[in-house]
Order: sequence, then structure tokens, then C-alpha cells
Amino acid sequence: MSDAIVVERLVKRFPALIPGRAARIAVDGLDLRVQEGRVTGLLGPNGSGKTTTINVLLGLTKPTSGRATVFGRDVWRESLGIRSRVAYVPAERTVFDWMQVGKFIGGVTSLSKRWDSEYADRLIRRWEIDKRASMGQLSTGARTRVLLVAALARRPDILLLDEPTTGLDPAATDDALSELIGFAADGTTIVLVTHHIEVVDRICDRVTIMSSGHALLTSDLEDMRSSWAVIDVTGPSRPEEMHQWEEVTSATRRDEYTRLIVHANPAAVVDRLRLLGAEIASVHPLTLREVYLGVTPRAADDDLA
Amino acid sequence: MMLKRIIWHDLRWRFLAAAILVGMTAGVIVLGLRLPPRADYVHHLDLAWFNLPGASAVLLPAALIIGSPGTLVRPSRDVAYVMTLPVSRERWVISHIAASFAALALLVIACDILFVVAGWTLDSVLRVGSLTVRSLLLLAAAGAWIPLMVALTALVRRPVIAVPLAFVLLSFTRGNRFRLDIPAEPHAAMLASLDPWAFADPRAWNGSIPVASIATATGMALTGILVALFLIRRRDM
Repeated sequence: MSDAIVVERLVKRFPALIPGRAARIAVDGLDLRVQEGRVTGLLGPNGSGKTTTINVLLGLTKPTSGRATVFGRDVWRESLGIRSRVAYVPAERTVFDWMQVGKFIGGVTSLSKRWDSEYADRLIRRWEIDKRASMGQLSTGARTRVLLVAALARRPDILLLDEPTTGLDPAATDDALSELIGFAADGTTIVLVTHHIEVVDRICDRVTIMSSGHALLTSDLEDMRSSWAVIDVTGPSRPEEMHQWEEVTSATRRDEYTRLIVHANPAAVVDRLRLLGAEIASVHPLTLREVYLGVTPRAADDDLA
Repeated sequence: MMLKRIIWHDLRWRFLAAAILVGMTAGVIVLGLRLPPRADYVHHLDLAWFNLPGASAVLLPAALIIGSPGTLVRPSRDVAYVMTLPVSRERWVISHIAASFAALALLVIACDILFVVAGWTLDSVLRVGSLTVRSLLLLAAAGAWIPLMVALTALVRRPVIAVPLAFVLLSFTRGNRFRLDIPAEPHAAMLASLDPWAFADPRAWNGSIPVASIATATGMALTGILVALFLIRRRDM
């Protein structure tokens, strides 16, 4: 399977508006590969560079250095060709507040070569979208549905979705996600930026966790589920030494035990610990949430929903 | 459709301001006309509007106001969304220039309609062909400033800075562009042959084509387009 998106050593630095202040580095040496037809989740704390990365991929923001391509085309120089194959749902829902929903959708239609009117009408009916309402009158959830229609009915090869379930009730979230699963089954490449870990768990087959503008971890979710574990060790242990082990992501001493987060081959780590005389209090596989919190030490719980 | 709507949404207040400025001036001019019966109406309009000084006093400011599009230079969610669709930055810039030119054309047409109606009520001889040619020249002369104004706005990034700055810069150029006599008085003085507004004066066409002025205006418009494209192509949206 070839790569739909390739990002190599990408840097985006925003110059300081006030002289003397330091420039803000939004993306700092990011490497990312998204294979065609796969659903990739981008997770990370606020300010970790996820949205800036999406903006770079859409040609909205010029990379400071590094390389980013979509279907082999440079995202800055050949942006127009890319955008005819990519559809986007922005995280910010307050777009075109002054425009009627029907006119907004009509406007997107006029700029889309592969617009699927029948599918759009079906979604509009099913999601009870009032085409005569002004975008500014809609609730957050209704705006999300309108933006999803505008993206999905373009029948893109790549969907870039920034928080695509914001404001949706559980039933509407299920419905939207089932549409996305349908697109993925048809071979559409999807990149999903979200703080909703359960959404990633449900529809993504690969995840990249970002922090401070770079990727901390990229893994298939299946591999993650089978290879990541938390091991609590009692008795004498030297966390500093364990941290150096290749399989260990972190080793932290707690009151009565030492907690190891392991990203590969937990059984081998357990054997090694036993050989060193440590007692294994518990071993259990990590959920995506635990992995996320494990690799992003500064992540606060309120970053996650 | 999407581009037209978003550009018009941005343009409408500037268009209204320009329309008030131009409409009031044209209205005062026709109200001030006192013509003998069967007089050559276009000749009188030449004195009041088409010769210099004249319409440049209002159409040039109108072009500067209309040609300072905020959406082109201000980061906004709406624009960012549009630019995720297959719309090139070149098309985005050219659409703004074209919309500004169309808005200016509307004002010139509205003035013409006003002049035609006034001529009819004054029982004067109206030569529609002459009026049309003169208006087209006026539109071309004023329209040539629009790309330059768009480029200036793209450079300073704020219409509220770009418009006064353009007036200040223009005040240093030769030619009394912002003078309008009501009632009109004949003026012998004409603009220099290289002046981009000179070709709009019907007297400049007596016996020869004002090539130098046309070339200056064309060069000015092309420079404006190229600079605006250069600036917007490099900018984060």
C-alpha cells in the first residue's frame, strides 16, 4: 500500500509579532506517513501542532522547512491539485455565519468536481438539516453536520477531519462515524484530529500521538493493543536502570511499587524482571487512553474527552 | 458562486460608501446644470465631469475605497475554509480585482443613467455614443488604480491603513486629481501625457491617441496584479 501523505522533518515556525519575543514553533521536525485507504488518528495535547499540520497539508500554511507531500505532490507548490482530492472539516465551526445553509452547500457544490448530489440530499434529509436556516443560527452539532455533508459529498480521496464529532449527541456521533467507516471501507484515506480517544479507538487503525510539534509515537492500534502493557513491580527495583531498557517507555516509582510502561514484548520484560528478583504485582494491557497519558506526561485529563 | 458571495459580503459596505460619494456628487452636478434649450448636453458634461479636473475627484477615491478588500488580506475562518476548496490563490486575487472593477463599473453606469435622465428632463441633445465612450474611458482610468490598491492593501494588510496611505501618496503626485468645480468652469490645463488619468480626458484624443497615458495606466494595473499575486501567493491563510 503506497503512502497518501508523507511528512518529513516538517517545521512550521510563526514569527513573533512583537519584536524581541521568541518565534512560536508549532511543528518541530514532524515525521508522518499515512498509507492510502487507512484511517489515522492524530492525538495530542492542545498546542501540539495537529491543526497546524493539517493546515500545512491543505496548503493554507507554508512550511518553514522540511517536506510534505500528498499523493506525491508538494503541499505548497501543488496545493490546488491536492485540494481537488481532499475534503476538510475544520475544528472551528463558526464559518459563514452570515450565509444560508443551502447557499453554503451550493457554494461548495460549485467548487467541487465530484459532488454527489444524491448522497448530499440523503444526508441532509437524514440529519434533518434546514437548508433555509442561516449558518449562524445553527447549534454546534448542526454546524458539524453541515460541514460533514460539505466534506463527504465531495467524494474525496482524503478526508482531513478536525474534531468531526464536536457537538454531536451520541446517536448523531454513531451515525457520523458509521458514514466515515463506510468511506474507509471504500478506500478513502482519513486523517482524524481529535481529543476524543474513544472515536480513535472505534474507527482508526493507526494512531500518531503528537506533543510539542513532533510525533511521540506512531503505531497500528492492533499492535498497540498487543504490545503495550503496564507492569507493576514490587520489591527492590531500580527504575532509572529499567528506563534504559529498549522495551520500556517509562519507569516510575510509586509509594509501594514501580510502574513500567512497556511498548514491546511485555512477556520478555516480565521474564527479565523476575530474573532480577523483582516481584510482579500485575500486568495488564494498556488502553489507548493509558498509552496517551503514558507518553504525553504533561497531558492533562481535560485534554481528553 | 461561493467566491462571488464571500467577495460581495466583504465589498458591500465599501461599495455603499463609494456609491454615496459618487451618487451625491453626480446628483449635485446635474442639479447644478442650467442649459439653454437644445444645448449640446455632452459638451456641458465634458466641462463638469469628463474633462479634468472632474470625475477623478470622486471616481478615483471610489476606486481606492472599493479596491481595498479586507478578505484578501485578513485571516478569517471563512477565507481559510474557501482556500481548502480547489480555489487557486491566483483566482482568489483576480476575483477580488474583477469584483472591484465590476462594482466601479456599476457606479459609472449609474452615473450615466442619471445623466441620461437629466438630459431628457433638460430637453438637451444627448449623444449616447459619446457619453458611452467617455464613460468607458473614465472607467478604464479609475479601474487601473484598483489592482495597485489591491496590491497596497496586500502589502500593509489593513484596508484602514491602505486607503489613507493611498490618498497621502496620491497627494504627492502632479495633477489636481481631487478638485471638482460645481458649477463647472472651463479649464485649459491638462495632465501630463504620461499621467495614467490623462487618456480619460476627451481633449487628449484630439488628433492623436494618448498612447503614453494608456501605457502608464496599463503598466500600473499589471504591476498591481503581479505584486498582489506575489504577496498573496506567499502568505499563510
